[in-house]
Amino acid sequence: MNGMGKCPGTTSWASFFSRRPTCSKVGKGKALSGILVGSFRYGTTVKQPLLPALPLLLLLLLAVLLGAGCVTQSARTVDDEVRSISSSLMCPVCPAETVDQSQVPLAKQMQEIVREKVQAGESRQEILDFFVERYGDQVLAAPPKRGFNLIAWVVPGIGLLAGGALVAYTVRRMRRPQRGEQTNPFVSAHNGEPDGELGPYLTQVDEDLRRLLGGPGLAAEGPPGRG
Amino acid sequence: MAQIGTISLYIALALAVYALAAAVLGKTRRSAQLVESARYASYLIPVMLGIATLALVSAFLQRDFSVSYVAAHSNLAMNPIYTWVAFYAGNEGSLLYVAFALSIFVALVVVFLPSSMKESLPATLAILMGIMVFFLVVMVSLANPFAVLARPPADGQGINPLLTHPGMFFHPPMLMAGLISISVPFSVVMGQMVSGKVGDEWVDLARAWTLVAWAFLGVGLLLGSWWAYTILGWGGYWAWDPIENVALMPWLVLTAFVHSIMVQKRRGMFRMWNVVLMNVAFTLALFGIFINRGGPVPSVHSFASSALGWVFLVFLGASLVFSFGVFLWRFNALRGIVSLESSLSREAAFLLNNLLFLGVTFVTLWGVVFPLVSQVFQGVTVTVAAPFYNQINGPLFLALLLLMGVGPLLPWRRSSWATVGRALRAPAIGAIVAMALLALLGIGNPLALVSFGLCALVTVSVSQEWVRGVMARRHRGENYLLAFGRLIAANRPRYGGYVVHLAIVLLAVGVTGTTFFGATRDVNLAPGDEVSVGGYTVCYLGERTRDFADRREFFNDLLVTLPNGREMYMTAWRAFYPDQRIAATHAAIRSTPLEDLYVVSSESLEDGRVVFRILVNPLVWWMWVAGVVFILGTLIALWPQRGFALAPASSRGQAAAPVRVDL
Repeated sequence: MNGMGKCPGTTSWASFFSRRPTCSKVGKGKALSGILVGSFRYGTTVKQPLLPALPLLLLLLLAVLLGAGCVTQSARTVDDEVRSISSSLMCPVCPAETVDQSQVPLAKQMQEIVREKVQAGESRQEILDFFVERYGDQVLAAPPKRGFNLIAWVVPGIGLLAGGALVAYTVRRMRRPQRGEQTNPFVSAHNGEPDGELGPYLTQVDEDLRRLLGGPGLAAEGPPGRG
Repeated sequence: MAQIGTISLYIALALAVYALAAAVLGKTRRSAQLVESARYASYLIPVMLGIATLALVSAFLQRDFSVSYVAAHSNLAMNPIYTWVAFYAGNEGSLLYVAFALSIFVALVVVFLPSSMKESLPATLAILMGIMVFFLVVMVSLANPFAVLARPPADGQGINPLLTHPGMFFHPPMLMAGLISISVPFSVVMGQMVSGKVGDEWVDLARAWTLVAWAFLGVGLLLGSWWAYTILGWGGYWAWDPIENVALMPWLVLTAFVHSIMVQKRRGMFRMWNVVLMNVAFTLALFGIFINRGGPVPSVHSFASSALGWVFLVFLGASLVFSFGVFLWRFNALRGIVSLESSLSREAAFLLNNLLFLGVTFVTLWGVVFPLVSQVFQGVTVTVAAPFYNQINGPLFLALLLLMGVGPLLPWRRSSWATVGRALRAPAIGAIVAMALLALLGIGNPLALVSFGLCALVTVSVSQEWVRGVMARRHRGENYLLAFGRLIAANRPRYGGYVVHLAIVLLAVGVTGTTFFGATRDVNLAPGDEVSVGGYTVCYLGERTRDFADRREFFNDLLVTLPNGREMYMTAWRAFYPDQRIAATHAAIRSTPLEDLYVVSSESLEDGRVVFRILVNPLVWWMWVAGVVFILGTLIALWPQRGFALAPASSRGQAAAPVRVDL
């Protein structure tokens, strides 16, 4: 058991960080250089046709990286695999602890079994099935994605989609001027117009008119005299 | 002592009932005197509960085992310093603590109620007193901390050894105070609704109290992680345990609220939505207390479970009916009239933010209740633990990080793609460069790359906002430091928020580091054996033991060779309590900003070997730093600004400087 070799994944990580501070620092440096090259010239309209496409490019890059990462699954050590499997198994005798977390003897034994099976070349699914056969579905840390338990996985997606639809609907409805609003012709009179040169001034006029007329929604925006 | 405690509990209950009745009658009969007397009654409750608290503390200090709570949660061997922890180790004591904390919050909110809110005081006070009465009734009838034993034992049962940790001094009280303090903004909002004040008068007060509750919860959660990391001995800090989840959910909803309340503050929008968020947050806080006090879900936090939970469930149901009843009653009056001008605006970004936060909350709630659903429908209590949450919430958190980088750059009201693209240029470049550098340095995991890239995106976008603001102020002839200070002072909610965003980035860095790059070894070592993990060599030297009345302590000495060749001694400590059959561990941790070496010993085998778990946890240090930054940011955002009112938001107005030039 002793004098075992270093875990490859971590070695590269450690050596990487002995040379370089955290990622946030890297980002900061780029921010400053971004300023130096002049991305902050406000008021001037520099012709930069590529700019709006940048986020898209970023997304594209991410997609490529993700794809590449999924294809080249890095080689996992036995230890990694054992840890991954045993953190997907619940310790049957402890309240809400995985085999990986728990310190009780049974959990240690289960972890030993996992290790033996991994070394014997059994797949992750085979090992999980082995334990499900003995302890039932409860031994899995996440419900299996089949049968009734599929609901556990589907409902969050439905919920998120419903929420997204609700937000989209709200946005659409809020963007249409409502009945109450039509009584005040000065609110968003230029709504829908292109964001031209006059945009800010129109907005300002809007604001001032609303303020004079005591338009809606101003109660929380500070005393009218200030501004 | 026990009598003093019980009597003061009854007096507090009488005062709360009186304050409730006087506030309601004062409102309906328009009697200012009655309302006034209700106010004074509410000031006396913290005094009475303070006396009760002191009575319980002194019972602990005097080892008065005739009080059954003291007998159940302490013993002669307990260090008196842990009285503070034993106080809330069980149901009765933690209820007293919660009631005491609530009474203080109530007194504070009543004292500092702005004059513009005077009209809603009776309703707000009545709601708060309703909550107060509930807790006091539960205490005197079902869970009296001063219940006396007919035959006092010679020694108590002792405190749960897992609780004897410095983290326990602050983590539970912070969380409990956080959960109960949500009552205050909830009651403020509901009070306004009941009084028919559906405008925006309550925004500032509700926001301030929400930030208080939010900070308590946030810090409590982080302290809990720290406690789990140092004492539970598995090397992690968050397990998606049901109890952790129910404390996280109100925090998530409050996070959504502190964002969307800014839209109401500046644009008069989302009124209805904010009321709903507050109702949901309060309901989830009660749900948290319900699960905590003996709910039906198994958890590692089963320190204080009982059938009491069901009483809380009934109260939860009643409050749900009340809060949404009031909401429906005022539904038409709450309709906003300001329209959303563009879906490319700060308002829309906040809407998306709320969707994501509520999405994470929904997933988490679903994970907590699914075992019960499964029990009902298929008769099997399946487990929903970390793998489920990591798979579903992980991507949602990444989306939140992305939004955190983009959202603050969007101006209020509306914008054009060109403007947004311009503002996004530096952050996007920063993110791409960071990812490219990390990929070149050999980080192959795509999720980790994305996460670090998004961290860079947020950092650059926040820095850019700062630089932009400072530059604008520089034109007025202020030096950099002064400009920076005044920039923050000029719009504290915003720059405090940015500081909190940076704290979240630090947290994300820590989580990403430990999730994707940690190394673990489980080994059994005999004295003299050594093992290598992630560049460290750990040599086990030997074991020392010390016996105490209630426990045997084990000290496992280690000689560690660091990656730079230096050597250092470390000791992994653990104790075994034979009476309770519980082992407590303190890991030996060498923490650096880069990574933690974490060694924990779990048992001594018969052949003299010791079972060790050795972990290398990269970047976990930054999570604790994040806590400090989080508090700092919250304080900045919360600090009252004298004579300050935010200017109405206008499009592009924020691009140049947050302070509008007077016309």
